[in-house]
Amino acid sequence: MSQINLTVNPPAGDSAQSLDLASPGRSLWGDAMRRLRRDRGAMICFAIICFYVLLALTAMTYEMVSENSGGSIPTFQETCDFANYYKPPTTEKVKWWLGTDWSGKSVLFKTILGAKVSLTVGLMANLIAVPLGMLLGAIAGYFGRRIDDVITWLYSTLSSIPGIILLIAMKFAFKNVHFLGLDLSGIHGIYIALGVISWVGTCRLVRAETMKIRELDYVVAARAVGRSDMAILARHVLPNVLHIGIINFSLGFVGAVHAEVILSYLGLGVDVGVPSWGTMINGARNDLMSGYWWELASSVTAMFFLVLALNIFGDRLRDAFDPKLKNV
Amino acid sequence: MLDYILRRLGQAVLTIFGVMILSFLLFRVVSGDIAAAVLGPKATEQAKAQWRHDYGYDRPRILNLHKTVLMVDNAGGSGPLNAKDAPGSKTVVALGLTLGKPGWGEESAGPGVKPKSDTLMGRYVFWLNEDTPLEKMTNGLPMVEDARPETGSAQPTFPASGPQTQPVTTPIPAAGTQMPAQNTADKQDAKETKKKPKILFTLSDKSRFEVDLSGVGTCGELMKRINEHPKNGGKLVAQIAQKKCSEIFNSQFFRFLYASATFQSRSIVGDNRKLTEIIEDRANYSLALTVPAMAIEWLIGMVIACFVAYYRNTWIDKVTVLVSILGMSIPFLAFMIYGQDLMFKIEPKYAQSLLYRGNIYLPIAIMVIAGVGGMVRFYRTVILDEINRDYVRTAKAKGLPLPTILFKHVLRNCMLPILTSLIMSIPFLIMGNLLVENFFGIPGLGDLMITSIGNCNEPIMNGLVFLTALIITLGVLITDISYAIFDPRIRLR
Amino acid sequence: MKLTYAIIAVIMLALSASPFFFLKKADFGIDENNPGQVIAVSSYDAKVRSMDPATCGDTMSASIQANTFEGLYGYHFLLRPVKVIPILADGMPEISKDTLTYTIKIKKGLKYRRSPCFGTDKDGQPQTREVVAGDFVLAFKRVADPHIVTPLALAFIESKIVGLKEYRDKAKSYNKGDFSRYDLPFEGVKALDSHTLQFSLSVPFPQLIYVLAMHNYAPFPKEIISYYLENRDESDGSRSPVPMKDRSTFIKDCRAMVGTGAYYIDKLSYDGGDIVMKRNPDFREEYYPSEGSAGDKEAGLLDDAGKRVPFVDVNIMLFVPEDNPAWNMFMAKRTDVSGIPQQMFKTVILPGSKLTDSMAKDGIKLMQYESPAIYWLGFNLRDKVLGNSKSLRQALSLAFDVETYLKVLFNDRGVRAMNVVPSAFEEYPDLPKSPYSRFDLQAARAKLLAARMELEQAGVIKPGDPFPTLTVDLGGRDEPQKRVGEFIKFEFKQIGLEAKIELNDWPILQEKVENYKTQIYTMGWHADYPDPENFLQLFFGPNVESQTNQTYYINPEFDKLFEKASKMLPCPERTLIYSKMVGMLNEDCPVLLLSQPVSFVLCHPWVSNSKPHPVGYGFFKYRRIDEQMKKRMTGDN
Repeated sequence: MSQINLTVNPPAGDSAQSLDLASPGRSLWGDAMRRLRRDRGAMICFAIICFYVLLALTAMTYEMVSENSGGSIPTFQETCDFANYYKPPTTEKVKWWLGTDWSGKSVLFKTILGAKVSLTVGLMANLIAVPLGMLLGAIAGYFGRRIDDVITWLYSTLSSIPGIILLIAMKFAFKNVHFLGLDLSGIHGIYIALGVISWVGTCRLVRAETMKIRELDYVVAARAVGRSDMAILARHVLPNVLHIGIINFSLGFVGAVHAEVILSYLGLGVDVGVPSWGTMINGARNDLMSGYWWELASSVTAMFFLVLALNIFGDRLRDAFDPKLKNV
Repeated sequence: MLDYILRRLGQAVLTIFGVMILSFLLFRVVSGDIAAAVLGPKATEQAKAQWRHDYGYDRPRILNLHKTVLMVDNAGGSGPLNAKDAPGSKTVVALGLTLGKPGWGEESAGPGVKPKSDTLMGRYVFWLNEDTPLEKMTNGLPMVEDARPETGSAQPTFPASGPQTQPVTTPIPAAGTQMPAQNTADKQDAKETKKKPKILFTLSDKSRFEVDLSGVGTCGELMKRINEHPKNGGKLVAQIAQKKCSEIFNSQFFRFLYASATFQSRSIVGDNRKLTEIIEDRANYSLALTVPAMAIEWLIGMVIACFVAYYRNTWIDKVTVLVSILGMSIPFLAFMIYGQDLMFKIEPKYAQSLLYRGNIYLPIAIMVIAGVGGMVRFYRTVILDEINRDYVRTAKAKGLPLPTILFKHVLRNCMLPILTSLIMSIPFLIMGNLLVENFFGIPGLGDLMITSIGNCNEPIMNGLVFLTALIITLGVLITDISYAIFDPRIRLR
Repeated sequence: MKLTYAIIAVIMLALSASPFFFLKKADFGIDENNPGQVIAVSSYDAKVRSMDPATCGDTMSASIQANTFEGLYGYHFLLRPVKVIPILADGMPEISKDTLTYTIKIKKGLKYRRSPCFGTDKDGQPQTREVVAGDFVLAFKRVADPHIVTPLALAFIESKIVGLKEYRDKAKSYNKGDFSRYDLPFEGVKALDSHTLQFSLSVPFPQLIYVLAMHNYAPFPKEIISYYLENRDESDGSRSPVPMKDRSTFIKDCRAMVGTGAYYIDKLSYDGGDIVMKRNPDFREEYYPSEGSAGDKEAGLLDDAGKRVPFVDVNIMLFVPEDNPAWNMFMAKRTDVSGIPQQMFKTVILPGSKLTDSMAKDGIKLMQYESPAIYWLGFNLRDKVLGNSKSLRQALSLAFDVETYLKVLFNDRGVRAMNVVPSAFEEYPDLPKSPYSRFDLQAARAKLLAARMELEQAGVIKPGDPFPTLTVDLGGRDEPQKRVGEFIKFEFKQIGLEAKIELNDWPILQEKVENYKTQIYTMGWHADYPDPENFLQLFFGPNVESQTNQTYYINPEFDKLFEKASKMLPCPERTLIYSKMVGMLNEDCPVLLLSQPVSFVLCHPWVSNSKPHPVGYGFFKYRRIDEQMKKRMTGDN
């Protein structure tokens, strides 16, 4: 793994699908949705993802409530309980089910709060990267020539520098920078930096697809009739590349979650005191030697199931949208 | 064909140029005050300014359309030219006077040739002429000291060895290097309440004179005060530098481009080794890590992929795919942590750093296990795509056994995408794997990158980025060209 | 077709085995002709910066370099409290009545290690020569040389020695590469004859003897300059002069490190490679000390009394920057001594500082010692919040639970500091303890109310506004520092104060502190010599100029007492003055006192005569390694 790639060049999958007999009004979308719904594995994964989203929302609510409660409900940072530090998992109290960390805080709660960070990073980074990639890819593929050259040059440049280096450099550059009211030295900086360097994969795919769409009959006809470029892009191109965006979004989510871990390892992750899976993994590295395995295990497990679900779901999504597998 | 090659070559050059611009912008921003990072926080402003000039960090950023004020020593002696602030004055610092010529290179002196220190120059100011106000030349810095509270006696005593932070393990970590402020002793006399901006010049013939710059408002007045000083007598001539056309490129960006492209970058931290030497030392380690990892991953990936393609759609296939996805879902860091921990329990000697050469197989094994999942899926897809082709169906219908089909037909056609992906990953081999090297203490190039960002070793960082970009772009170029050679459809596009 | 596949498979297998071609076998510089050599192996974790005695400023370089370069004086290996003894000097200095002149005699017959810079004899073997007083004068001139960056060495003697400033000014007008400036006269350090040295001070300086016990002022033969700095070796074996512009002012090559110590540096790396020290064949006759402190005899530290040192032939130091691998190497019996990493502590040490059984059965020995250092959270008194409210600072001190801090974050490897002076110092029992060095939340809250009034009076906050958020700067970005930050945040929250934690790399923290851009920061101080003055000078007003007084504590009363004490040799009157000064600091709280560290060192049973010294370096010559036992216990070797 020498590069951070939020998206992977997608090979086609191979899953057995039931034969779809002719039925009226089949569109790519309807088709895909139907296939997905019938796929039990994909649905389970979707449920798991929703579960994590629920956890993250719970965490967010808790943080908002505790911060504004003026002290009656403690924020997570204030739940330090030094008398009970490094307790292994026990069933005595709910908050000790997964044990406590170095300062006595509950590992269970930490894991739940960590879901919030990972999901935020994944969501926001891809919300920046994917639309950006789709836009640039569509423009490059559609207009061709100069604009295409410029955009190709742009993404070749970005992909020639190892992603980790770019991330580190941007994180350093973001110290003490405030942009639109956000303090960029913390979590906001992470997903902005990630978003800005990971639009490349989506862009490449969308560009290739757009170049194919451009030559389709009805698009040629639209150009001949004199529809404006903007209208063609909006009406014909973008809807047909949307599925690429969605697939890459779900696969890129995984990359973002992993990237947060790496940044925490390098000391460039979230602020001090904010719980995240990355900081749990990194922090517990030394604890493992002393025999405190539960913090590491719980964060790795939590991350594992989320990423697994995303991977499988992304795969199935791709299969669902793959026209070659329509009749398999 | 040639046309295609030339076009791709042109694009490659532009890409490298783009990489250089990007890395220049990013790393200049990142590095902050490099002089302070290298010389230590206690270095005087003047030492920092001199360092910046010597290493080229005081030039204008992109294009050099600036001018500076020069003070040329015509005294003809053999000693060095020197400008020092009188007590209470901070004018030398404010004007940024350093030794050196504003031109391109630092011409190296042979034996018997006068050293370069016969010219003092000020800052690079964008539009410098006689009427430029002094504020522009001093960048707003004060010309005299600000008032310090009066203390009992002005005698400073005994500063001692470095302060240190709390060690988290024993023994106590090293203190930073420090240099006490050079003007300490001078300030003993600074009891007068009025402080004037005065510069004390020492010329090469050991003569000295002090110039009082109170009330000077523009560049012209500054030069006049110096030139017409009674003790000067034409030995120190202040003027505005004349510029040649080629001076436009004497900027930070172009110097950096030149140094990187000709591989002349030198480390500014530690001993001043050339980048090429450092790379020579360290490339071995990176390659020793990535090459076997790639080879083993490829072998295992291919074998498993063929195996699975043979048994496709059976439970073996499904289980393999599942396990691959599992492998891809565990964060890489977790692999490293658990892997190393396991090795500690089995045989601690093999678990860290390269005490034994064989220790490197632990990180290699971890990289293989983490990466093989993705490889298997990719190769499997490629092979299955081929297997679903018509001619394979024909061959099966004709009665050929599947292994023969696999080896004789399918694999040969699969080789192109597989080998392409292999060749595409060659450029990344030499950079090593940053995380693995950092974690296991392998002194390779990836580790060098991370540490040089950490200690602001800017030339090394840029040199490495340039090298990476070069290798990657070349790799892509060669791949594209060989594709074009083998696949006529691409050429004709 | 099968052949192609076979070829591809073979290529890939070959590539898999490539590390054995790419990497070189670890080479320890062991002389194969001398298989009976006694070899010690240890690890080091911070890269060496400079080994030239004048420029050496960090502990890592100092600890290595002190085995090669020796000074006039040093510390006794075993005696505690520490005692200064003559090393190259012949006896203690003769001090004049006005304490401004020190006359020191040098032992006769001391030789440098042989080096080609002294010439070669008819067989081509490098020669050596005797140490003379002029070599010490040169050493001091180099320290005073404005063209050499001498972080510590100059700071100690600047403005104390007569003529230093004049020498510096004159030397400035010389070119960097023009070493004829070392012929300029230097009033304050003179060689009266070949074996007598005289120091002239401009002010009384009772700590001079401690300064002379530092190795930064090791004698420097002028032949090193002419041989290694003015000329260089060419690749074909000849020598050529170095152009003046390219000359370095300090030595970097290990061959140029010609000293009188028991070892010489055979292999040196500034970039994290191995460092190898070998026995100096020209080392003088020196013997293991026969007296020690209480407990030394029982620990076996006097078993080698009277024997000639050094015992070990080769010392190999491997660069291992991380704790865990260093520990593993120690446990794998690859290195001889080690500290204890944070996370292994519980498995190694039982409460009461005894070794666990698994360690003890391997014969591993434990040494515990208190470092004469104090760690604290410094307050920037120029800050308008902290500078205007003494009660706030006192409140913070009372609210900080140092005992839990030490227990949770440092496994109790430290004791709470009760004032700014380490408990190992002689004067400590007579110095007052701070009334705020305790954990008392109620008192803290009461003080906080007083703080609010003070701040409102000073106009810093308006009545009814909450307390401003305090920023705490830490020096490091790794996990342990993060935990410290979280702890601090939690502690401040207990009395209702918000804290923002900033992680900085160490050099950036230093810069911030020295430019007064911080509010609260972690800092500490390690004693250079056993005199409380070393700590009290951190709060002396005029030291603000030299960046030593980082808290900006300026108290005219304190300063007056300090000046008075700085002229006095150790005596009860001086301790009384010190006690008043410490009392002022206790009350004013310019820092939040944290802890004094307790350090542990482990060594394998084949290692003898290892006793950590609080302030001195250069004791490796006393180390003994039992080769037979080592071979037996490590099995292979």
